[in-house]
Amino acid sequence: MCLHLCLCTLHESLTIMIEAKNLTHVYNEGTAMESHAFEDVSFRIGRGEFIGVIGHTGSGKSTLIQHLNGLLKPTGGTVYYDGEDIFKKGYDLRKLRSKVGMVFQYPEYQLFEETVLRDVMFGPMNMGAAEEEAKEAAKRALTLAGVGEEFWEHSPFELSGGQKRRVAIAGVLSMDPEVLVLDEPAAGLDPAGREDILNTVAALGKKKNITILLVSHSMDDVAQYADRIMVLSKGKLVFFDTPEEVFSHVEELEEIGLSAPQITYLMRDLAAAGLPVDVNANTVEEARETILKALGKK
Amino acid sequence: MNIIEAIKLNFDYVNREESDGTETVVHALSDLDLTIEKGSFVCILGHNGSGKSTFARLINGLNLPTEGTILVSGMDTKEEEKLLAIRETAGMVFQNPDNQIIANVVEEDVAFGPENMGVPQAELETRVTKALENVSMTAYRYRSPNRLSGGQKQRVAIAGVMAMKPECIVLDEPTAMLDPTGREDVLKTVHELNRQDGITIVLITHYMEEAVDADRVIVMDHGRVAMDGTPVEIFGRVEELKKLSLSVPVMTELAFELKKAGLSIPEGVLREEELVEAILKNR
Amino acid sequence: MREITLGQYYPADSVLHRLDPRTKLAGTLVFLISLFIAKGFPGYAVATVFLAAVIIMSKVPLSFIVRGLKAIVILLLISVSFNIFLTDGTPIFTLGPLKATREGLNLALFMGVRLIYLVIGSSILTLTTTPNQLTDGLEKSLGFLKKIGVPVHEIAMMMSIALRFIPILTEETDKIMKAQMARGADFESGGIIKKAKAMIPLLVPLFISAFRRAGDLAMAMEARCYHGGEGRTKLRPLHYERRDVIAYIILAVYFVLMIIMK
Repeated sequence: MCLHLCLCTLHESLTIMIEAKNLTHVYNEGTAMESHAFEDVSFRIGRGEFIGVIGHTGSGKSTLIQHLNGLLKPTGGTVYYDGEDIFKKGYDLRKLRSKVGMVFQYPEYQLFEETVLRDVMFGPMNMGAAEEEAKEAAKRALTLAGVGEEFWEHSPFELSGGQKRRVAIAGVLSMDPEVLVLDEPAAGLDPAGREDILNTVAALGKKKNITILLVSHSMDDVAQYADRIMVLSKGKLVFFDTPEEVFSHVEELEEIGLSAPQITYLMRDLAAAGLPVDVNANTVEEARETILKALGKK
Repeated sequence: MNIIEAIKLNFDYVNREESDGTETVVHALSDLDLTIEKGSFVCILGHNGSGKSTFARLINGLNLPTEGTILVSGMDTKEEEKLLAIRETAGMVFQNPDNQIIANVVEEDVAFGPENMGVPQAELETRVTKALENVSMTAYRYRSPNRLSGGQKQRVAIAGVMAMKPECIVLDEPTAMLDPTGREDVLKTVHELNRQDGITIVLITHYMEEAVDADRVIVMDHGRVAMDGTPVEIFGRVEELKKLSLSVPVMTELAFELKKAGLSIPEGVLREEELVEAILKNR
Repeated sequence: MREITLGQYYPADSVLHRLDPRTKLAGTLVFLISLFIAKGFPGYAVATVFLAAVIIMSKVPLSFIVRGLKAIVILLLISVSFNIFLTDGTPIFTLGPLKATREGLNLALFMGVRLIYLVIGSSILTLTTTPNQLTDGLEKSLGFLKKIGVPVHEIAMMMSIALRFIPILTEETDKIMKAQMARGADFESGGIIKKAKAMIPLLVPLFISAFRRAGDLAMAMEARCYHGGEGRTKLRPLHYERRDVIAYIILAVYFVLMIIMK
């Protein structure tokens, strides 16, 4: 069911950036401790798409994303980037990692340089850029990530939590990636910090046409930004579709221990009470519009 | 009766700039006056750097006030010989689940506090059993903490405090690093401890949804109390909260937007059922 | 990653597993000393019987025990050949400039057996005792050192905390390594200097994280009324059981026997 859904909902006009084919990852294969991280996962992601990746701790989502830039090797199936098999012999994985940037959870813990600017230059320098070139790339990335120029010569360890995280994101952006994978980029921040980071990420996608994969626990966060949502449960790809389509399966989502955004529940209850609202609304903005319309106030 | 009483509480720390050696004094708390009633469930909200974690550490005597006084059950944290009694009375749970579990077996970690207090062995056994029951972690008694999920680890940490038989538990962003399931479990646990065992709960968080069921919500800003009231009162003041870099629960925000658009919606809608009812009345 | 068993503990339900760690520590010590007392064939015969009995009682598969010997193969080869060729006596054969002697061969044989028994003897201790029990046992058995100012409790507490944090830090190392590899870091290629330099992006964050954790933990311990070993009680204090008494008697008999055999 799923494979069918996934392939047909990709917009025809988009170029395919990433394709996973029957991707499987088994830990300790062939031993008594064998366990599946995920099994037989296939999907296609187009250029410039904003994908939300949702699943529980242990659903396999963190393991899955590490295959997209070759940090982990699958035990079955493969990943194509720009039409090329990334696990084929001789494929330049290091170059791939500059194209598919990955921001891990709590990325501020990977900072190590003396100044913010030098830390952000680490990626481009590894990719073989000259000092000046790397510096320019770092400055562009810091601006994109919203780190003010006054901080560039500071030690990254003196910054606040939210700023550190922006520096870490800039550290990946400086390699000019075409795809950006972020694992819970807002975790642990306060509400204003969360919103800032998520807005920055969404703006990046639009401004630079970067393909974004946002891993999150929060349906509410993802609903607001994603073009399509990938739902993983127990190592299986359960849904990969537009937010409206995914959230219409409230019962199935609850069965696997997830839930739809809170607004979705409200809309369903209103509809059940006979108010002609659009049950697909899942953000505050959409809900306001459809409720006002249904009540004839607009 | 008040279990915690802060009188003109001040706490400063010195921030040294590595690059040029200049020192700036940061006022984490300035003239904070705050009392917390015994047996209540109080939620403290505030953006990062508002002084809420500093306040928690002062309650436990982990830091001492620069000026002013903080009393726990009438005991002043500045009197060194009372410190152990204060820590027994107001236990503390921290944000990072990995960095507060000391022992290599769950039951030994739960026993750590009372062991330090010199509780006799026979009583240790009953305290550990009871504390693990309190947080529904009995099945994990002989496990290694390393194999537990974040939410389970936080519940072990809570059990570790419960085994000290506290009157009050201060939790400093205990859910910040957890997934939704873990968050729900921890929240359910602290509510039960409050309801069934009468433990005073001071929950510091920046998830607005966690404050909905509290008896009282305190919003801190710049080391002072900026807002103080019931959840209904506080979340009715949407614009003020936003100015303090905080958000409101989604339902409250939608209610606020609808009201602005001219619907008649009562003050302080926090839950989905309430909003459904309010909207339908506008038909 | 989180499942590393330090000190290679082998979980099983045997008499040896149930013995008090202090008994096992004493037993290991007695066995090691006895190996140095033993000189001739009869002494080694008794030691062999004793060790064999212990191995059988431990319920640890022999393959597990032998695995511990891998680490000392080279040491074993070197010391055996030294003994064979560098001892004076009746020559048996020559290898170029080297002359093997009967006395040397004899000495090498005992030497080899002693080394193997030493390793097996001590690995039985770690195979049947969890690191926690071992720490507890050490703290209690070395308690007398407190009188001369050795901070025994603190050392034991440090060992126990280290045991808890090693798996966490191992996992963290893996995470930081991956994060830096995602930024193009290369930990594998290049010479020693290049490799050492490549470690900086890994080691700096790792140290910072370790210090942060240490600070957090110290605060959490303080909040739970930790104030050193003074006046502390224990949930599971060590108790000698009947089996420990029996074990001590057997040990004593063994030791006397070894002294007589000498």
